[in-house]
Amino acid sequence: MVRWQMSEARKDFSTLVERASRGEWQLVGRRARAEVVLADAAEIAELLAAAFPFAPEVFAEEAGVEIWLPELEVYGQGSTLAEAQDDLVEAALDFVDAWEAELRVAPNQRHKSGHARRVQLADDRARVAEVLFGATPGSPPR
Amino acid sequence: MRVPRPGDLRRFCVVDGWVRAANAPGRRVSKHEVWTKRLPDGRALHTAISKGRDEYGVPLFERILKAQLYVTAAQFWMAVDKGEAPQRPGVHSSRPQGEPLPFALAERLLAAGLPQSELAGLSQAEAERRLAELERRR
Repeated sequence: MVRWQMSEARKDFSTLVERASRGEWQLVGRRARAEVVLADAAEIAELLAAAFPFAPEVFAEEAGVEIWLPELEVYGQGSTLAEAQDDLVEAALDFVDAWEAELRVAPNQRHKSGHARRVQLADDRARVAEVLFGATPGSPPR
Repeated sequence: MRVPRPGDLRRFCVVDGWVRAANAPGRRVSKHEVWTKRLPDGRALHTAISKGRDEYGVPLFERILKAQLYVTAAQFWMAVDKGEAPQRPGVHSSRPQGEPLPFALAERLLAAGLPQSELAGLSQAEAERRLAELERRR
C-alpha cells in the first residue's frame, strides 16, 4: 500500500495513475491520514456492483410499458420495453446530475450514494444500460 | 384511481414551487423535464417528466406520489385542480427527524462530553458507538 503526501503526488501524478490502473490503490493525504484514493475505475465499478445491485420493476400494460427503479426512485416509460429501458437510462442520468449538484447532501437522498456512483462511473448510455439491466438481449438500442 | 398526464405533473410542480433544472452549458442535455424542490427540513425532492407516454399507469403513479413528490393522491389533485399547494407532514414541525434516543443514553453521551449539537440526528446504534468511543478515551 503506497501513501503519498499531497506535494509528492502532485509532482509524480503520472506514476500514481499508472500504478492505480494496475490495480494498486494510491492513498494521498496532507498529513499521515489518507484523504483521497486513486484507484482503477473498473475495480471500483466491480466493488460497487457487488454491493449495490439494481432491481428494476416492470409494469406492462396494453398501451405501453413502465419501469420503476426503486434504488434511485426514478422511472422510464415507452410503448415497448426497449423504449422504456432507454427512457429509464435517461432518467437515471438525470438523477445522477441532480444528485451530484444538490441531492447528495439531503438526508433523504444520501442513502442512494452507492447506486448513484454506479451510474456515474458507467459514463455512456450503453454502459448505464448494462449497469441497470445487465448485459441481456433485451438491452435498449445503443 | 385517476391517473395523471405529463401536463398534470408539470402543473403540480409549478403550484408546489418546484424549480425546473436548466440545461447548463457544457453539461448533458436531458430529454426530460427535471424538477427539484428543497423542503424546509433539508429533504430534497426530485422528479423528471418523461415524454415516453401520454399518461401514467396506477402502480407507477403511486410510486411517484410516495417516493418523488411526498404527497397523497388527494393532495396531488388538489394542487392540479384547485391550485392548492400541499402541506407535508413534518415540514413545519421542529421535531428532529429520525428515531428518538433513550433518555439514559442521551444523558450519558452528554456527560461523556459529546456536544448537544452532535446528538441531533444520531440513531441509537450510532449513539451507542459514540458513547463507547468516548468512554474508551477516558
